[in-house]
Parts: sequence; C-alpha cells; structure tokens
Amino acid sequence: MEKFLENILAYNKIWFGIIFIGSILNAVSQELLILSEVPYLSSISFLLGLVIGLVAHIRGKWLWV
Amino acid sequence: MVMGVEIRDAVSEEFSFENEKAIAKKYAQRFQWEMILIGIGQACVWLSLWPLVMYEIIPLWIGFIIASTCACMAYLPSHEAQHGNYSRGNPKKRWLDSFVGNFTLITLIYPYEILRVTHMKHHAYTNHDDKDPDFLTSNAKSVVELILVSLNGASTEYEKAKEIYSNDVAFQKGFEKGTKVALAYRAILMLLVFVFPLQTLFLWWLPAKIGTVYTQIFFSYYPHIGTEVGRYKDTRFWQHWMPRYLNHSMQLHFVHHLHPNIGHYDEPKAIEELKPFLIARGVPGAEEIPDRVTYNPLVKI
Repeated sequence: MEKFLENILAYNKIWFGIIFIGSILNAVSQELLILSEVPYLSSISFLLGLVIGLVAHIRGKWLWV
Repeated sequence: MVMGVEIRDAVSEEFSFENEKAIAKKYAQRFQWEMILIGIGQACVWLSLWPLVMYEIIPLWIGFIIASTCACMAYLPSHEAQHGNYSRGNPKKRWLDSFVGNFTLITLIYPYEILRVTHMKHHAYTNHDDKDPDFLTSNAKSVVELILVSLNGASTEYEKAKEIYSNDVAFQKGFEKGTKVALAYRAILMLLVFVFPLQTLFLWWLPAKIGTVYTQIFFSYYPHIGTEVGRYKDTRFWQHWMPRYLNHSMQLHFVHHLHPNIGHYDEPKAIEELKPFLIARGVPGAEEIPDRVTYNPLVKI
C-alpha cells in the first residue's frame, strides 16, 4: 500500500494536471459558446491538463521561480 | 538558555530575561476563546457555502469572496494551537489544540501536524537559511517573488525540512501524521473537482491559495524582512498603510517570537509593558513602538 502511494505521489503534478486542471478546463470550455462547435472538447481539455502537469513534473515546479 | 541560544545579559539587571519572562507570563494565562470562535466560525461559514452555492441561494462569486475571507482568517487559530495556547500545558485539554488546529485549516487545505512541526523549527531556527522551513518566504526579495514562491506550493520546502530533520523523531512522527491528512485532502479535492469543477475552484482551491499568500505576506514576509539571526534580532516591529486589524496585527509578531505563549489578543498590552525591555535588547524597530498599542491601528503612511 505504502509503495503504491509513493508511486502515485511521485507523479503528483501529473495527476493534478490531468484531474484538477483538466476538469477546470473542461468545465470552462463547456461554458464558452465560442467553443461549442469544437469536437472532442472534453478530451482536449483533459489532454491539455495532462500536458501542463507533465511540463510541471519535468521542471519540478509550476511557476518560473 | 532559550532555544539553544544563550541570552547574554549585556543589558542592565532591570531588563534581565527573568524580569522580561515574568511580565510575559502574566499575559500567557488567559483562555483564548476569541481565537477558537474565529477558527471554528470561519470553517463553519466556509462549509455552509457549499450548499448555499449548490442550491443557488447565493451566486458563486459571492461564495468566492466569502470563502477567500474565511481562508485569510484560517491560519491564526491554528497557529495558536501549534503553540499549545488553548491547552496551556494541561494534558486534558490537549485535544482542543488538535481539534481547533485541524478544523480551522480545512479552508486552507493544509495538514495541521506538518504546519505544527515545521513551525516549531521556524521558531528554533528563525532566519537560518538551511534550517528555517519558512526561510524562502520570510526572506523573499519582494512581495511578487513571495507570491510566486507561495503559489508554487510548499511541498518541496516541507520535503526538504523532512530530510534536514531526519534524525528528529518527534518531527518525523508529526510529519508522517500530517502527510496522511495531506493525502486525504488531495483525494477529496480531486474527487470534488471532478464532480463540481467550478465550485471546487472558486470555493476551495483559489480561496486557499489567496489565504496562503495573505498568510505568508503578513505572517512570514513583513515581520522578518531584513532581520538577522538571534532571539532579539530575528523579528521586527513594522508599520504600513494597512490598519493592523486587517492583517491580524502582524506588526506585533516580534513579541510572539520572544514569548510564543502570550495569547494573540493579549499581545498589545504585553508589548506596552515590555517596551523598555525591547528597546534595551535592540529589537528591530522597537523605538518606534507607540506607548499605547491597545486599540491603536498602527497605520503609517
């Protein structure tokens, strides 16, 4: 169990990106009329969240300081 | 000896540490009921926002403003708990420290035990670049840098502290306990954001970030900026345009570093009486402390 948790935590920024940022982007994009015609909007939102999390994971931090 | 540092009595006997301690002790007795009320109160108000927003009784933007205000008020009641200022050394009342300390921090999404053990190290090693867990925020080059550091998240700094104090059993035990709470917070946050994304963003995550930045600016940055290492040198008296009632009176934070058991709302009276000691010991900014601190907003434009 501990090992499992450690593995999850090692990629915490990626999880945060895909779940948290992805969910927020998905919710915001659903509200924007301008994006209503865009196909696969949810998939794009979660993918973008994943990319943001991945970049933060590689850099080791979210911001530039 | 205090916190491993010998207090050299270069000042006259009148301002001895023993006399100073005797005065401070008078203000370290009272039950901190106001702080408990603020801690429990803000957390209950914050919890009530969820149904109020979900059932559209109040709009999300009002919920966001109230939640952010709650988050700004969340740390101080936990801070008093970290110093055991509710139980005041009574083992039967220790649950009160733990309960208030944990409950009030729900709004800030911080685990009480991690804050408690790292805060004790902050007191013991204030301004030591390698041992003070708050060094990055209390010694930031500017408010903007502090905000960016704060928004980056504290986990890296806390992990560093965990490594530095790897031989400190009590520290590790508290840290492990806090890690479980941090994981639970993270799991709840992820679950909530998946189901209620915008509500989670505007009622919890964003207010918690605002509360954290507010806390670090006023509790960590302003009181310690430009100060040195040493019991009477590591925290300063400061003033600016903001009335102290809006920043939890952190202009007076120096007295907390000298005597952490003085109750927060008793600090102004204690400072009035301790002022000659503070000047004699060379506390930064002590000469500028007004004779009357109680009810004084301490505004300086």
